[in-house]
Amino acid sequence: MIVDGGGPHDERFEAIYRKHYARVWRYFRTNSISDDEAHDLSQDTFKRLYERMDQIRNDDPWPFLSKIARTILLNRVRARQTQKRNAPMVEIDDPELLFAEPAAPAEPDYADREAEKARRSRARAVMASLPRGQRQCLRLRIEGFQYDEIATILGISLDAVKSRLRDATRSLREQLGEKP
Amino acid sequence: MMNRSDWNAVRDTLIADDRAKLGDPPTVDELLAYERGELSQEDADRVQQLLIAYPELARAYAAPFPADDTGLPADVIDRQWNAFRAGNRAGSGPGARVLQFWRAAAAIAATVAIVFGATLWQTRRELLRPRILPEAAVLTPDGRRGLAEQPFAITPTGDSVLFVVSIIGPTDYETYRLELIRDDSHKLVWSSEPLRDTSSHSFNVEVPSRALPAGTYQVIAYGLRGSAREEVATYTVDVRRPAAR
Repeated sequence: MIVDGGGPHDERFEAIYRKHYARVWRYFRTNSISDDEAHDLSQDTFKRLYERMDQIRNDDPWPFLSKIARTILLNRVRARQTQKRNAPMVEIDDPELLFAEPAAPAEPDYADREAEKARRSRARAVMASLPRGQRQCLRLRIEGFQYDEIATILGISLDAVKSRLRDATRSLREQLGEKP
Repeated sequence: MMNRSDWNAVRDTLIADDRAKLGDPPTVDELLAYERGELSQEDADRVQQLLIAYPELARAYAAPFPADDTGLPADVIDRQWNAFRAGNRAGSGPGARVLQFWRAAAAIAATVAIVFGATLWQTRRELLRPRILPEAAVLTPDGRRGLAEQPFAITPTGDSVLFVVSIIGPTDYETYRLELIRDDSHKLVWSSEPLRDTSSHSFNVEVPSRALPAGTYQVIAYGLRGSAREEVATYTVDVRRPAAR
C-alpha cells in the first residue's frame, strides 16, 4: 500500500495530501496551535482520511477532509479544557509559589476596592437582567468574537446578532451609563 | 465608570459560575449534532450555554477554514509526506495496518507449518523408538475355561492393552478375522483385515486403553474360507476401571 507507493488508490491519496496539506496545517495554526503541533494534527487528519478513503463518494475530498480536521481540532481543544477543569488546585500559601511569584502591585485603598466591587457587581446584575439572547451575544462579544462568529456559535442570522447586540448595548448604557 | 479590567473580571466571574453550574464542555459529537440541528431544544440550549462558558471551544467551533491551499513551501510538504510514509513503515499508520494483515496471515501460516512439522517429527520419532508392550492378556475361548467360567478380567493401567487371542479348534481356514464387540450394545469396536494363521495359532492385538471404556466385550474369531465365514471362538473380557488413587 502506501509503504510501497503502489496502486492508483495511493496515487490519488498522495495527490490529495500534497494539494490540501498546507490548508489543513494553516487551519490548525490559525486556531492558536503551535507550528509543531499543527503538523502533528495535520498528519493525524490525513491518517484518518486514508483510513476512510473508501467513504469519499465524489471527486472532491475537501468536504470530508475538512470535517475530519475540524473534529480533531474540537477534540484537542475540548481535551485541554477538560484538563484545565480537572487540574489539581495548589495551596495558595505554597512557599515555592510565594518565592516564585513577583511582588504584588500596591493594593488600592479600601474605598477604591469597594467601588470596584460595586461596579462589577452592578455590571453582573445588569447583564443577568438582559434577555437570554442579548446576554449570550454580549458575552461572546466581550470575548472578542466577530458578528459572523457569534451567528455561527448561536445558530442565528447575522442580522439577529446585530439587533440583539444593539439592544443589549442600549440597555447597558441606560443602566450603567456606558457600554462594554 | 467600568474599565477594561472590570469587564474582564465580570467575564471571568461569569465563566467560572457557568462552568461550576454546567460542568464539562460538550462532547464533539454533541457539538456536531448541535450544528446539524439534531438536538432537542433543551440539549441545544445546554450546548449553547456551554459554548459561552468555554469560549476557546466556541472559537474552534466557529473557526472558518482558510480559503485556499497555499501557505507552505513545497519542500515542507515533501518532508511531511515522507514523514507520513515513514510513519506507516514504522507500523503506526494505515498502510502498515494493511501490511500487518499480511504479516499476521504469514505468521499464522508459519506457526501452523511449525506445529505440523513438529507433530510429524514427533510421530516419526515415536515410530522409530523401541517400546515395551503392556503385559499380555492371554485369552481363552468361552467354554474352554473350565468349571469356573468367568469372563477374563483386565484393568487397563497403561496406554494400551495387549490381547493374545489363541485359536483353539479348527485351524484349516485360509484366513481369520477378529472382531471386538461391546457386549451390552453389540457395537462393533474394531474389525481386523483377513489374517493368515501364525505358527503359534494366536494373534497379538494391541488395543488403545481409550478404546476400552469399562464394560464387557467380546472378541470373536471368524474363520474365512472363500466367501464363507464361520465363527470359530468367542472370548469374553471384562474391562474394569482402574481404582482411584
